[in-house]
Amino acid sequence: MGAGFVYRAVRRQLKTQQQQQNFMMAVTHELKTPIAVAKLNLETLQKHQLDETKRQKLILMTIQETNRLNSLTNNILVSSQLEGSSYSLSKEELNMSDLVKGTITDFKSRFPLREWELEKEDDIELTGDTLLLTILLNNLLENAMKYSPAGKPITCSLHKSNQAIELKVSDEGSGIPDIEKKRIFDKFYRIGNEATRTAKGTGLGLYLCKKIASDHNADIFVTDNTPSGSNFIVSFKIR
Amino acid sequence: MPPNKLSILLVEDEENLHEALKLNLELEGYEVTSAFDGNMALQKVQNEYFDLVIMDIMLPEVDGIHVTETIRVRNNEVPILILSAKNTSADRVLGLKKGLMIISQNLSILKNCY
Repeated sequence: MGAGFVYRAVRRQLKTQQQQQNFMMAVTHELKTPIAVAKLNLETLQKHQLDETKRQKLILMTIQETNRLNSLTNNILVSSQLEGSSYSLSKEELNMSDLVKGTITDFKSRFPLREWELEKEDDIELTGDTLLLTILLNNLLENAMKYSPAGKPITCSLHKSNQAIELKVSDEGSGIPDIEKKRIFDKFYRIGNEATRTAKGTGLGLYLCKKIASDHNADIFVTDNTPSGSNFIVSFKIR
Repeated sequence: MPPNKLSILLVEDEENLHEALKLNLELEGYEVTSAFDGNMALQKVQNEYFDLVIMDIMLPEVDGIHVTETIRVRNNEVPILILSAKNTSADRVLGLKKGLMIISQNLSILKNCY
């Protein structure tokens, strides 16, 4: 019995170590890539006299990469603050319909080549923290982009019933195997091998979504979309 | 500016980084062919001649180290330059063992090669 306990403890410790190593590897990549792109683009603009179309393209790419850096640092800072209890959740009355509309408008301008669909009821009110709810929605939309091909639409919907307010982000990617559906919300958990995975990330995004949902008295879960892909659903209970 | 247009295979899956590197290499006078994952890189190397391969390590499907190893196993001696954030001593030693020329974080190294 004692040996079994030690075995499980050591195994758990090794797993945590491996996940932390993966996280450091992923963060190194996720931090250095946008910095490298922004630096290279600025140096290119400084060194070469480019035509206007190429200049605008380099500037757009640089803005996209700095936004990516901004999302990543937000995720790291907020998850550390939420865990260390140094973040005090603000409970304000907010218009969730406007928040969703504003976020989708932002994504449309940042990623004009992607197809964004929005289905929402107006004036859905919620008590919560605007910054955290924006991070939650940003993470779900960024994941939908990462895990679905460029030609497929991403749909965001917001509806209210008697019991709950339901926020849903749907993609038409390859979907998530049933065995992974719960694990993806674990801290640092990522599907596949760090060196060869198709989509990059840190394993913090969905963990943070779950933490934010739980701090807002909401459930978060994933279901299969039809004909393909995933639906990420956040269900806020109405008190 | 190189005397003749040298051909480079650029293997990078990050779309914006790929575009930025490609533009710079073209502005410097190189002819650039694109690959966005390890398998695509292996196919291109098998079917075409390149003077140089510039490659990331973290790639979808097959990583850059395995691509290098496979290219060497096929007796192809094309110079391979890894451009990666993974540049610790251990990464460099592993890369050299598998047949890489050099690991760099900076493209200015090309000026010393050609």
